[in-house]
Amino acid sequence: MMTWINCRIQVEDFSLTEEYQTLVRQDCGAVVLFSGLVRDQFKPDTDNSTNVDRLQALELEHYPGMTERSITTIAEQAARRFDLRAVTIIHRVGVLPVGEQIVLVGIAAPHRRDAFAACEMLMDYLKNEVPLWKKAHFHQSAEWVEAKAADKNALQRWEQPK
Amino acid sequence: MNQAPVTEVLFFASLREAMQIGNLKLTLTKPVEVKDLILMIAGQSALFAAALTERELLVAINEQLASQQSMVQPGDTIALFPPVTGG
Repeated sequence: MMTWINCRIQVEDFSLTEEYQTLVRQDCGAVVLFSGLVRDQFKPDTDNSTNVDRLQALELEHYPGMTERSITTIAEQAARRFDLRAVTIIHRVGVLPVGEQIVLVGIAAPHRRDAFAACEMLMDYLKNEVPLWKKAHFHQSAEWVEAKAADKNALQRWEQPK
Repeated sequence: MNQAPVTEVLFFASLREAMQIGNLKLTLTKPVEVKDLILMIAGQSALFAAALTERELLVAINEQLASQQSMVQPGDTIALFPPVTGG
């Protein structure tokens, strides 16, 4: 069964309503949409714990060309593992203030279990295998976000053959 | 006489900032392992050496993830970068 795959890297925002409509089809009983947002986080000042620095924005850098290619590759992997009819992945780049949408993963499948699982698998791979990097801009400073061991460990559940 | 093809090395994110340069072009006369290519670049300056040794590095050869033991052919495009943090 063919899976329609639509992957984009873009600066512009995206519309959940429009993306939902492109996923809906007659042979699918389930559409799952995940959106990742820039959340409000605080960096405690080590010298004075009452003084906290608030995140202003995340800046997303990518490797043009390889990013699109690797997102398409993970979408194809998910489509081989689960029964999916359509996959949309949109990742934004550039400077994204608090509250902005960063990423969308949308899945259309005949049944919800495949749609939920594929959405989780794709987010786990997006966090580990796609050349994208976040820089956190606080009021007073900026720093590159460190990769988390928990994100790397999350890949293991998809590595054993089903 | 054959001109050796140019091998391009790209740097991203915190590594790009630490290297103070986004890419280098070099001429390889024969294939080398990624780890030896990194040592060659680190040997160019104390700044490069510090940038390349103070963090975990991932590598892509021609836009495909590779390892430190992968072979780089003259003319390949290599990318070096810290662990990714998208999503």
